[in-house]
Amino acid sequence: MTGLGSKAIWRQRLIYLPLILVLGYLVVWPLIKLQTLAFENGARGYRSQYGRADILDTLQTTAALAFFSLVIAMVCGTVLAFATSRLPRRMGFLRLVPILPIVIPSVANVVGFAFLLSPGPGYINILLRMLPWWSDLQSGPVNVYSPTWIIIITGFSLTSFVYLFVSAGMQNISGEHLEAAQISGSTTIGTFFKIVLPLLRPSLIYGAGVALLLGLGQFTAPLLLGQNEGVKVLATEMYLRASESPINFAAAAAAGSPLVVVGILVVFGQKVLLGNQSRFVTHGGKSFAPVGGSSPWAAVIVAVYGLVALVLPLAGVIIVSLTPYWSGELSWDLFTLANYEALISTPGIVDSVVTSVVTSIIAVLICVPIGFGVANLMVRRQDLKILRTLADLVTALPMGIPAVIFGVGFLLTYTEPPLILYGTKAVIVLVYVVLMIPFATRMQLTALISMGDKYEEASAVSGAGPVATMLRVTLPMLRPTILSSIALMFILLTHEFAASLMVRSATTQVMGTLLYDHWSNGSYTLVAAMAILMSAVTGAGVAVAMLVGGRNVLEKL
Amino acid sequence: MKAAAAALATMVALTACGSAEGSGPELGGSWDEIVEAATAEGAVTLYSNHAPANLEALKAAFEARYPGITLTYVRGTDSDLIPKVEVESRTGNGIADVHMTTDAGWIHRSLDSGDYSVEVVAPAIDQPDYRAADGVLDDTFFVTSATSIGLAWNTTHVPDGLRAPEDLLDPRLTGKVGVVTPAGYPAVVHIYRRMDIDYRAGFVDRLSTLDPRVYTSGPGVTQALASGEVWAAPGASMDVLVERDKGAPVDFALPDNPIGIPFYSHVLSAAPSPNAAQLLADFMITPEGQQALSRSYIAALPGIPGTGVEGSDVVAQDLDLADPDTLEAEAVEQYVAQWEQKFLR
Repeated sequence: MTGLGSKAIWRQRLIYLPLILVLGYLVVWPLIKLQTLAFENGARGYRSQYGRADILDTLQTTAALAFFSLVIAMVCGTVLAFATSRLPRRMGFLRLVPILPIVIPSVANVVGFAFLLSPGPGYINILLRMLPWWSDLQSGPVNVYSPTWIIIITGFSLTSFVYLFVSAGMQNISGEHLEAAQISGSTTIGTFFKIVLPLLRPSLIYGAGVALLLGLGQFTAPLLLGQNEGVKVLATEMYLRASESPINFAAAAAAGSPLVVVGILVVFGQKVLLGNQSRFVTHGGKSFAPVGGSSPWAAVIVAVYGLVALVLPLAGVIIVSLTPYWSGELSWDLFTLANYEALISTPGIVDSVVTSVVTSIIAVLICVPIGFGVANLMVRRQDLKILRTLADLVTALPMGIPAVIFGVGFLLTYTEPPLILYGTKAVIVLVYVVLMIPFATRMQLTALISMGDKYEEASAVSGAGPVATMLRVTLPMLRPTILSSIALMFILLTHEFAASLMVRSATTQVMGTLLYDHWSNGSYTLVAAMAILMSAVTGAGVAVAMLVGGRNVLEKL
Repeated sequence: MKAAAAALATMVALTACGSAEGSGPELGGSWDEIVEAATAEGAVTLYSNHAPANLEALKAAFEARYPGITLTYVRGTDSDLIPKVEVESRTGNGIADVHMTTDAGWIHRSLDSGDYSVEVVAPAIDQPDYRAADGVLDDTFFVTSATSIGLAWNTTHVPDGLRAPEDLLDPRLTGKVGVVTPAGYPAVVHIYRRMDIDYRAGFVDRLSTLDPRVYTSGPGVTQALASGEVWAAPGASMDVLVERDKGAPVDFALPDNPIGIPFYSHVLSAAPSPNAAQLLADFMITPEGQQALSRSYIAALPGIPGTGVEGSDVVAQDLDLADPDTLEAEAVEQYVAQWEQKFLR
């Protein structure tokens, strides 16, 4: 290596090192602090948390929730991905349906299911009790507060994530394979099982990994629905330990440890399974053939999913938001807009919307350049092996570790010197940045990889410097990806609940945490109106993203 | 990168705004100076586990009396709010000025530590009607209201109502009873213990056989009663009366030996508005403040319209705070574990 080359490498190292250090401080330091605390005083945190009489139940419920919701999500996500690829042309708009549950806040979705399936006044239960074989029941037949229904609702919410991975993988399957199968006389179902599924294996493995982690760290449904029947998972245990008096951070940290370990294992496992990512360069001049054929059944499947996962819970929320109190007995004269008027007059609600939007926008604006920097390091700086590896791991970690763990970690870290940020919007922004780093990085990384290096080489040959190439070639080509990542991050952040619940203060609230407070206080009708407000705020964000990034910005997710 | 720089600058500004510490406002010397300084502070924050409707009424009454000061209230259970009070005291980043609680164990631990409260100097405390000798602890915690725990039911599903705790143990109410979890809520632990004394020995065990539905707060049970999710509740607070007055199909009755829970308040040492905090403390125990805060509850002053128990002249000072020795953290944790084994099988 020449002296000049060595100097250039050191310059690059000095550019990227501060970025990695800042990311390391934000992502890894809170985790280290939590573990240090859990092991203090002869592992007092572990003894306190794992000495509880119900800990086995908690572990079993966590595992069952993760496994069975994963199964539901994998089956529904894969079937939906196949179905959307076979939609009749005029039904193409249904392609958005499996993604839309991501736009509806999970808090709103969960309370929507509660309004429908509460054993007593749940609207669907009331309808079911009109059927002759259930007419003698006074409640039920469905109990939304049971572990089974918490698993089903969680499975539905994870379906969209699996769908995103699988449908992306499906678009990369050449139509020639399918044509060959059809010519050989295979049926649609036969083609699906014999051709599509085996070719989808990488997407399925990746999607399963992500869904498993999301299921293990699932927080919203167990917290909102599970407390009613004592359903406990590790994520809710973390919340409870960190919000009891006196606060037991050590036990909270210990409760989250299995999730951290599994998260790290899955992140490493995915790295090993995916190997060299440059294998996935796809800009080669050849176009992809979509999965061919169309079927009205595909439209029916997608529509039924949309009805169950999206329309029904939203309808439940809308009905309750228009009544003076939640009741199974509805009549036209009960309907009122008072709850929507209360959104303005109830203290804190307008502030929570402003806080959600402002903190989300700031976090997104911070994440995009960080993601671009890390993606560039990963793709363009093959010579900085150690920094690349560190950047890869640090930016992947928040994907593998549940948000509630970062929430507790940040609460612990920033309620102690030297930087006391308790009660500030800054701590919300910081935790949001950490949670979104994987999305900002991975989406830009994938786009950079798929671009290959031919465009930049051509720019360099034409005499452009690195900065000019970045500004005139790379960034314009990345524009659709950046806009999509902004849309996705904004959607996820305006919904964020688990980490926000830990780092919010009583008067610095985001929409989801204030909604939870009103749910705990039993203000169900106001909760319903707030859920609609949350969906509207996110919808407005998506509309802006579509205006700027084009109508198909959601499909690029 | 300009966007990132702008975002970072904004974040630094937010940080600076949020973590401002140090030379906060001082408490005025005389009451007139306190009132003047409170108006200059312009805002006061109350953490409370009282009924949301009553807190809203208190806000309206306080802001009408002191138009220059905005009252922000944060309603939550003791298990929500006490950790926040502790963190704010530890970090010095105070948000709340006044804190109201029913947790007798914590009140006494707080008095012992002396970390969280300052002396309350409100002149209203010295009014003879207030009975400060019975209502103020160590010049800091002062009683502001009280509730009696009683029986509540949904009038559609239980049209004949409930007269005695025994009525609630009817097997037809299996799966239809709403109870509050005692987890993180020592006042509720006290209520369950009193049920076994005041209602009947073994009442809680028999209650658990009805497979009750568990809620995280009293208002949660009240709303569940209104919705018909549950039909009856043995440990309901008097806020059921507030909902009944709004037209919800619920009703409430006190048993022969009602369990009383006083709400105590204190001005926080980490209060960002120490003068406005004293002003609010004072207002809460004036007749005007009591009428708002204690509507359908038991007031801390006699003869306040819309408050109290029918046929009784009991005031909040007549209700004893639970024995703090029985509400030590370890004892509470042990009780909660036993309770969960019975109720969350």
